[in-house]
Amino acid sequence: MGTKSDRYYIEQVLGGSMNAFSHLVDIHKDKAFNLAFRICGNREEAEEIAQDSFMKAYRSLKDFRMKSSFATWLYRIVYNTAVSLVRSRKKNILSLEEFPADAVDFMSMGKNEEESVLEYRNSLVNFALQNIPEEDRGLITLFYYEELDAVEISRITGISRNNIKVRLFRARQKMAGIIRKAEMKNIYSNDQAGIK
Amino acid sequence: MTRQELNDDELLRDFLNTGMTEKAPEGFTTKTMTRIRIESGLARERFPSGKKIPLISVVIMALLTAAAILVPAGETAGFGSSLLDKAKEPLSAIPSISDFPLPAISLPEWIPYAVAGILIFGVFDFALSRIFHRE
Repeated sequence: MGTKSDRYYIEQVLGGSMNAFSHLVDIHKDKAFNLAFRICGNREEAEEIAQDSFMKAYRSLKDFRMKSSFATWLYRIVYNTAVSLVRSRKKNILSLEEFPADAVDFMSMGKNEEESVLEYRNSLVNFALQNIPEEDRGLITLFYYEELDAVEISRITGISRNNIKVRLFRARQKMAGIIRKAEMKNIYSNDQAGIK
Repeated sequence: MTRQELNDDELLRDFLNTGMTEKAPEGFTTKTMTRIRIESGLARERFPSGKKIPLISVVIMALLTAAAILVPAGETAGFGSSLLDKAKEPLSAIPSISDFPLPAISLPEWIPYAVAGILIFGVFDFALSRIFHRE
């Protein structure tokens, strides 16, 4: 079952088997959810976006020409749905003061040190992502999490390759700045509290 | 890449590791498939009701046409004929076409019936579409 390709399930769905689509959802749900979450910044909305995207994919499957992979096509739907949703809501610029936690706060949640550090880093990344334009959040996610190249990202987002490089450069610079500042704040507050 | 760019890239690679991708919530596939099933079911239900309207009209039209052809002229007695007479009453009040100085046109006999039929079924279609498309 797990060895069957996307194409196999697509053909099954087009042949009238709706259940075959559940395999496609199962295979791609985490990547779709992660992209939606990194762009919109909250789990409830991300779930809604991912579900809507699968709905759209199901409805338009007959128009999918298989020129790209199903994942690329689905990413495009998720990216557009998420960016449209974020654009439609009020802009909310976060300041570094609003990033409330450091690694020590996560340790109090009953997790071990390694898990706590990962949680802290993940929330810091999300915080930094929310401080860059929504299109760039998608680019960063596709480039760093999914490890896609500029050509593939261009296919998904419709942004030219050169523009992707420029946008990635700016987004990277801004996010790195935010992360460094948060880390400095973290070290400073831990020093003040006497934590080594 | 400049030294600064390399540092930024390295920092982000360190923080954005692929192991920390957000996972879809539990039951996501089931919920999504339920939504798809419900929405496709609704779409399917909407389609036949839309098709019923012309179908009913066509059936009734066919029955009436068959009746008109099969029932010999002059045998429409009773309720049908009285209804036809009632319908003719207001028409008799309208001045005859021959009263107007228009060139004499000889139309086939069935034309007025066809026009009346189209009007009646137009109204009938409209009423049916209102019934079937009511949410």
